[in-house]
Amino acid sequence: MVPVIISFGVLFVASSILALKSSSSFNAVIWFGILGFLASAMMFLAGAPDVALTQVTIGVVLVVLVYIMAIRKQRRVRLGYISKQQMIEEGEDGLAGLEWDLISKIDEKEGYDVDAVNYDNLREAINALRSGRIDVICGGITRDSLESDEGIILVPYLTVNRYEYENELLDFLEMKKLMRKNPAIRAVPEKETEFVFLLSETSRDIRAFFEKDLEILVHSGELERLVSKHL
Amino acid sequence: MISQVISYTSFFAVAIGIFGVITSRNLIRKIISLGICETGTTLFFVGVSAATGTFAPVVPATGMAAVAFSDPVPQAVIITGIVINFSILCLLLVFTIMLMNRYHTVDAKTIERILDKEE
Amino acid sequence: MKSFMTFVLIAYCFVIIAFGAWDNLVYRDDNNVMEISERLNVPNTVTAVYLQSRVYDTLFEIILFTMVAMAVALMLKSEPVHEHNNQTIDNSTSVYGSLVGVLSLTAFCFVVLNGHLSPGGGFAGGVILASGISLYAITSGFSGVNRQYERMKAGLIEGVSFVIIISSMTFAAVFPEVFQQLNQKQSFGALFSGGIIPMLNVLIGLKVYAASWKMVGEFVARRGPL
Repeated sequence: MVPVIISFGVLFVASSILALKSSSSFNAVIWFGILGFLASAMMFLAGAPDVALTQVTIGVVLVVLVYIMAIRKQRRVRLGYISKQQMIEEGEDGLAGLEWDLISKIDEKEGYDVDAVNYDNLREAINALRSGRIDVICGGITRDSLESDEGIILVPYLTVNRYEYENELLDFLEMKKLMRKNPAIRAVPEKETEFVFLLSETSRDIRAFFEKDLEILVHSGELERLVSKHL
Repeated sequence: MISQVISYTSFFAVAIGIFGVITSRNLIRKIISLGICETGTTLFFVGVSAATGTFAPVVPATGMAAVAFSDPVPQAVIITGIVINFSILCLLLVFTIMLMNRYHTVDAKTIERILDKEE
Repeated sequence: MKSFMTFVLIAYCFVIIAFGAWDNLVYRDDNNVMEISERLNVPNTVTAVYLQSRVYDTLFEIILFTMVAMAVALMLKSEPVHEHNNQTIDNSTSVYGSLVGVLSLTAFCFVVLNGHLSPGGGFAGGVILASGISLYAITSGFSGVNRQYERMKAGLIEGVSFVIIISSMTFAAVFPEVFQQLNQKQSFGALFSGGIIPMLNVLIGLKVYAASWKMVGEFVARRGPL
């Protein structure tokens, strides 16, 4: 009987160390359930059957149930947008555009809901982001059109060129509009810039899955398809 | 012998639990470490009760010879303790849910920084 | 650096405790199990200890447990409610869920009524029933179970049982001789022996079940079912 209890004890200590060093919270909760079961087995072999019954019911079934209900992702992503044509704008039924498609695809995959709020210009939206009223800003913002980026994280999703035409700096969308009106214009690509999403520093979990899902979308070719559909 | 093995295992569990509470950043990880500490305490009580023997303290019939039963008093004290541990864990998770709804993060240092800025 | 210093500090404290506790964990020869069983006339000595000898301890822990359940329900009232419109109910899984519920109800009745004859008692039975009914409710819809509760007036039964528990436990703590003489008159090992121990076990089981169910129900109402 003593070697059995010693082996259970070693497994108990090992699973408690693994519960602290696991990569996600969900894995830690599962190791905690295994630990509760091993403790109950040790108590049963040491001659305390009442305690073992109570420990196995509480520690394996009820505690894991309550933890999983507490740590599942339950939040809504609050989106602030600045209307820009073909990127995100009000259509007949709801919002439409390239950025709206991207954000809806990412949030659907993770299981979130999106609340969208309209802002007039970039400064108001950045104020709202800093004070915590919204989580993400989108609307065809390029990396250079920001003055200061303290407390803001930029997540780039598309690399485009910036053009110079008649001594004026134009970005990609205005270039496309001019070219549609007058296809003979040639402009000089000046430098590369990126369209970005703006996130606040406190929402690290949103940033983590945004970057991960954008990578997956780029790899599978979805991004190219969406870009060619809208632009 | 069994009583000493179980008691020293429970010391390890309590030490790992306290270490986890002090050094982990995630709030959920802290509460799980507190649960490990409580399980270790329960195991220690059972270890003390096993010092007089390892037979379950249920007497089948009166007037039989004395066998090495285990001590029933620590077991009676710790059964109610397990149920109360569960209820305190639920209360801690209620606070975590309220913090999560307000600040949208489960990181302890980030929440402290936001609260410092608000003052 | 901080982790290393914490580790050294905790190891130092626990080495001191481990060497100091050596004397208490050596094999002892005395145990009073036969004495308890003869004096209180009940086979299971653990239940006899926490319901006759140390009944004051159990009384306060029941009060504490009820208060924590009320506190959890009260503090979660300020959180937004989750809309229950997307709980998917799979018909084949709900059959298995109701099987688990019925089996746990039978196990509850057995463990609680035989609390003084074999290992078990009020606390173990209460949590068995709570986990069984939670699994049933997750697979078959929470709103149906809540409506059933309001029809059976569960709140009234809970309140009345709480009053009976407090009054009889206080009486048993102040006048211990009454119940010990009542125990001696009954036969050893029968189902209805042991004085007020079976009745107290049933009421404690119902109380523990009600408090656990209230806590799980509040979590589900605010965060959605699993």
